[in-house]
Order: sequence, then C-alpha cells, then structure tokens
Amino acid sequence: MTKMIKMDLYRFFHSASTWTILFVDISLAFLSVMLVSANKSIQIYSNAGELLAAQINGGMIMILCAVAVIIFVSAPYKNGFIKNIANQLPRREMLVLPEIVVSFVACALHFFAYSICTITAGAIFFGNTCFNFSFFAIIELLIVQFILHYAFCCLMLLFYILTNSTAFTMVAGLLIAFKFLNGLYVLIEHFTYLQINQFMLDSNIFQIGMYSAKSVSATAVIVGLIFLLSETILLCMVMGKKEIQ
Amino acid sequence: MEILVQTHNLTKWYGKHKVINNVNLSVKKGEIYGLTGRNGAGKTTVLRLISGLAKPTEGNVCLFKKNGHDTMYVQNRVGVLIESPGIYPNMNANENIKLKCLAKGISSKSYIAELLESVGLSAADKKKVKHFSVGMKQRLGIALALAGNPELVLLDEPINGLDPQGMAEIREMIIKLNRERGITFIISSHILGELSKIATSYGIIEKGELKKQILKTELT
Repeated sequence: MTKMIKMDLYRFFHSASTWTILFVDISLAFLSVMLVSANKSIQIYSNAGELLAAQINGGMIMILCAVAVIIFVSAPYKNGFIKNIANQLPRREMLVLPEIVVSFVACALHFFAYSICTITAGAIFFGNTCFNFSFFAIIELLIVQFILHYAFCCLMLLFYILTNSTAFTMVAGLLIAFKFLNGLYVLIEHFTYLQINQFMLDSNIFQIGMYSAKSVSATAVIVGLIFLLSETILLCMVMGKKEIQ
Repeated sequence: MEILVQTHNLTKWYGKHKVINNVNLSVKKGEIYGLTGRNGAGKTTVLRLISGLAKPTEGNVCLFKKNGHDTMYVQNRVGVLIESPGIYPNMNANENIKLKCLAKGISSKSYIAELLESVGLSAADKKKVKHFSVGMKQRLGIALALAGNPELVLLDEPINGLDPQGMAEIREMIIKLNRERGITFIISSHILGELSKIATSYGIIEKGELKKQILKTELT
C-alpha cells in the first residue's frame, strides 16, 4: 500500500496539471481580491478572515480542488496504466485507498495555497487593517472548510469511479459548486419540513464563515467526517466489484 | 513440469453475450504459450481473466497453485500487456517505468536502465512517450510488463503495429527472456505464422471456446 502511495505521490508532483492548477489557484486568489478591492462600493470586509471566508463560500476553490483530484485520478484509467498496477494489491478494494490518500494531499495543496494567497492579496490590496483578526478563528475556519472540501473531492472521486466519466463528474461538480442543489434542498424542506441543507457538504461550504456559531461549525465537521467515511466505504465496495478496462 | 496456469471451465458473459465458454487451458512453467484465434475469438478476455483484470462469470483460474480469490495474492508475480500499452503520454519512458518500479518497491536506477536496454529503448529514455512510434510504445509496454521480475508475462498481440524488423526484435527479446530468465509467456496473436516462430505450445480459440491445445511438434 505504501509503495502505491509513493508511486501516486511521485506522479502527483511530476504532473504538469498539478502545477498548472496551482498557478490558477494563486492567480484567481489575487485576481478576485483585486477585483473586490477595486470596487469601492462593496468593501464590506473588516479583516482577512471575513475576506477569506467569503472567497471560500463563493465555491471557486471547491471547483479547483475537485478538478485537480478528477484529473489526477482519471489519468491512469484513461491511458490504461491502471492495468500495470491493478494486480499489485491482494485485494481490489485497496486499489482506491492510495487515491484517497493522494486526493488529501492534492486538496490540501490547492486549498491552503488559495487561502494563503487570498490573505496575502488582502494584505496587499487592503493594507494593515486586513490583519485585524483572531488567528485561532481563521485556523478553525480553515480546518472546518478543509474537511468539507476534502469530503467534496472524495465525492467527486466516487462519482468518477462509479461512472468512469470525467465529463459527468466535472459537470456534476460544477453544478454542485454553482449551488444547483439549493433548489432541490428548498423543495425537500418545503415538503418534508426537514432542513436537509444542514446535513449536506455544499450547503456547509457555502455558509461556514468566521463568525459561525460553534454548534454550526461542529455540525459541519461531523457532516464532513460522515461523508468521508461513507465515501471511503462506498469507494472500496465499488472498486471491489469493478473490472479494470 | 510444474503447471503455472490452469483454468477450469472458465466462462465469461458480458450482458447477454457469452464471450468465453468453458475454457480449460493449462500452461507449464517455462513455456511460451501461444493463444491464437480470429479477431473477437476471446483471446483478450482469456488473458484479462487470467490476470485478474476481469472476473469470470463461471469457473475459476488456478495460478501458481492458488485457486479462485487466493489468486489475488500471487497476481503480483504476473506482468501484463493487455490490449494497448498503458502508459502516460506526457511522461518519458524512464518515468513510466519508474512509476511501475515504485509500485513494486524497486528503487534502483540501474534496474530501469537495464529494463529499457532489454527492450531496445535506452536511447529514448528521456523522450516523451507521446512522441514515440507505435513500435516504441509496444516495447515500452513490454518493459512495463517485465518490471518487477514477473514469473509469468501475459502479452496480448505484442506485435500489433510493428514492422517486420520490429516483429523480429520483439520475438528475439521474448525468446531471450524465456531462456535466460526462465519467464513463462502467454502470448495472444491472430497471426499463427508469427506465433509459430516462438511458441512452444498453442491454444486455438474459436468463438470463445478453446478448440485444441497442442505442442509445437504437433503443429508441424
């Protein structure tokens, strides 16, 4: 298993897509903060924490993390390299575990690069007032949002392994990131009186901010972890049944 | 001689199509087994079932004396080149082999160089695979199948797309590896004339059924 993880990490850090997406992360972080700073009428952020929360809530980094994971995971299936390594592990179910581990690395790299660049861009474009925030509050925000983003990446991984289609997975990811499911949640709430959006990854990503109540953040972490666990179990089950094409 | 691969009533359905029907083949250690038949006869499916890439609908495969699900524990002793070579086009030959070596726990740089030399690709080790010719890709696919010193290598149509000189080189390489390292090969091809130059025994497959298993002496 560790050998397979080493192999995937080697591929991840030697892949042009990793560095291209990282460049896009950094560029978009600076560009979006610059655009916010340029519009004098909407300067509503009193510190970098609020600015970062708003940027994450926008769903841009959610899309970038998902794209990075899908490109990375789909490559060996598309070009057939998976045939060379599929029989290295004694159980087919285990074949997906290195991908889950490397997806963690991919998600962490892009998520934290985007976050650091957003704060840096905030400091550049808004000046020192931007640093008027609680360090621990921002760390808490990043941890909660990272768990949710990682769970979202694993959801995309599950979609890909289930369908074998990059196009389907990308479209599904984009629709979720563009809040397409919100209408569905409203409908469900209307008919069942169940506030389902509290228990969904995307809704939590869009709502967790610097000043979210502790109970809301705790719920978000639990939602993220439950999704992660369920996705891992489902991924192993699907991979166990899957034939390598 | 020890039997390395034995299939028992191997059957595979894809939807409503029975692709493989009760195939019982046996391959001895040290053999070069030629699996021949027309296009669509089921050669690739048999290799996919032996390599564990696909699961049989009925019957089972006995590999290195392990049966059924236990074969997964010995599958890492099998190298495969099935259908087209599975390679990363944006990486060079060296990096492609390195990935397989990392998965196998081999870290020696000289091992990769030796492997590329054995398939005649040492001069192109830094060239991106997307710039390779069909023959070079095929050689790299064989090098990947050989990475990790497998005892059994499954090659599906390894001479596809090769010119006559390329065919001869691949043939010589397989014979050399078989004699020097004792690697057992199962090679599928629809060109019996080519197979007859290297194979020591044959399986003739038609419409998913193994019609006959014969030795080289019986073929002539």
